[in-house]
Amino acid sequence: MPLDDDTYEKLRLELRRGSLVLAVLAALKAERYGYTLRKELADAGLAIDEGALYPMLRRLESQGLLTSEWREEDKRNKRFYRLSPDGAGLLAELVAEWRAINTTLDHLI
Amino acid sequence: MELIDRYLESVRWFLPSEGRDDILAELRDVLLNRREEKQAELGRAPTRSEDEALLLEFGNPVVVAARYGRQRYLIGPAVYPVFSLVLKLVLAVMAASAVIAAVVATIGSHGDAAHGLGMALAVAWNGAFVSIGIITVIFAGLERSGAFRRMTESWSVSDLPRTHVARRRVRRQTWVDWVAGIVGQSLFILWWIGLIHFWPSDIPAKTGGVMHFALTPQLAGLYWQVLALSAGVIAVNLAKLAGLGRRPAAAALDLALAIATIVVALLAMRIGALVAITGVGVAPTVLVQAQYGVDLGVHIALVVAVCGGAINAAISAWRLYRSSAAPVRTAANGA
Repeated sequence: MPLDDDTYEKLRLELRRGSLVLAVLAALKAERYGYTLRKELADAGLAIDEGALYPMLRRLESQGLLTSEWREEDKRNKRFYRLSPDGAGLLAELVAEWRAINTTLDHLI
Repeated sequence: MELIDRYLESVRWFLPSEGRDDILAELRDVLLNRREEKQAELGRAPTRSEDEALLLEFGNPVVVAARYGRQRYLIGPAVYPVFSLVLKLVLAVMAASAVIAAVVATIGSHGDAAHGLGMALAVAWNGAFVSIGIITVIFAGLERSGAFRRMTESWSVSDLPRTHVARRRVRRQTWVDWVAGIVGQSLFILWWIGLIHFWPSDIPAKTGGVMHFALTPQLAGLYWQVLALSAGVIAVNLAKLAGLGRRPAAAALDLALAIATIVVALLAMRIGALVAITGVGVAPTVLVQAQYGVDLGVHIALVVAVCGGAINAAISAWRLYRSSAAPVRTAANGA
């Protein structure tokens, strides 16, 4: 049975989902608010939909991996996110895991 | 701005109460950023239709709000296979009940098929809705409370269902069942032809006098059918004892007996009163009440017989199918 585009798209999104969390955590080693974070990820070649990004930020914060605060900037209230100490520890572990997976896949592919 | 406010108000309806204002404030910021981007791109303020396009692109308020919910489904992917299986089984039972109700109602109304069809639709319609509702509520509760997850985590290898062959070994009938069937039906035949009596036909009434219980003359019309059915049960059990055992032919005979049981029970229901009560020195109201109670009891017993016959027929048919399909499966597995 020939594979359709939909199947490819679903698998592609599945593949990206885990790596996006890693990318967001890594990008938030420096404080950013949602808009600039999304722009930075897009410029780096990892575009993420706002509908996915903001709920993800909220979830990561509720898991204690991020901290946030509201601050006024350009005459508007914006919410700034930053990696928490727990998040920094977890990021280091995830990066190690990511590299191990990469090495394994490099041998397999 | 007015459109953004209306949009956010719509999102608010579907957001979890915890952190709702916070989420809305952030969404407002996101939408205003988008609008500013658009404005910079156009070199002027967006028109109303451009604002509408911006919100359309952002997504339906229901979908946007749903991304912030902790649980986005009533029945989750882990629970769904079990939910679906239970639902199918229950709906199959409801369908069978509707068919039985149709047959019973048609016979009970002296062949009025429309009455039977109405009864079947009522049973199927009401039963399906009630059972779907109850099952959904139960499984949603299992999903939401985490009880299903705990149940699946604490599984044991010994809980695994037995294979086709092993299950047949566990559930197969033994010679005890066959002998019991022969003894029971023999006693019934002796009672039916009047050679033995299990209880006195005259029973004293509490209010004084004596009530006499007797089978109605109408039941005589079923005399030979009932006798043949009992003799059939004895013959099949004897054949099983003699070596027929659990071969497919035995399942076929069991199926025939189950169908015959249903037919005889339905014929008896069609007759109506099967037991006549007369009395000496008993008040007429007491006799009427006793007759009503006995008729009701007999009717319930016959309904149970029909349902039991239907279940036995289904089990026999299944065994017949499994025994006939087994060699094919074995060959397929071997290949």
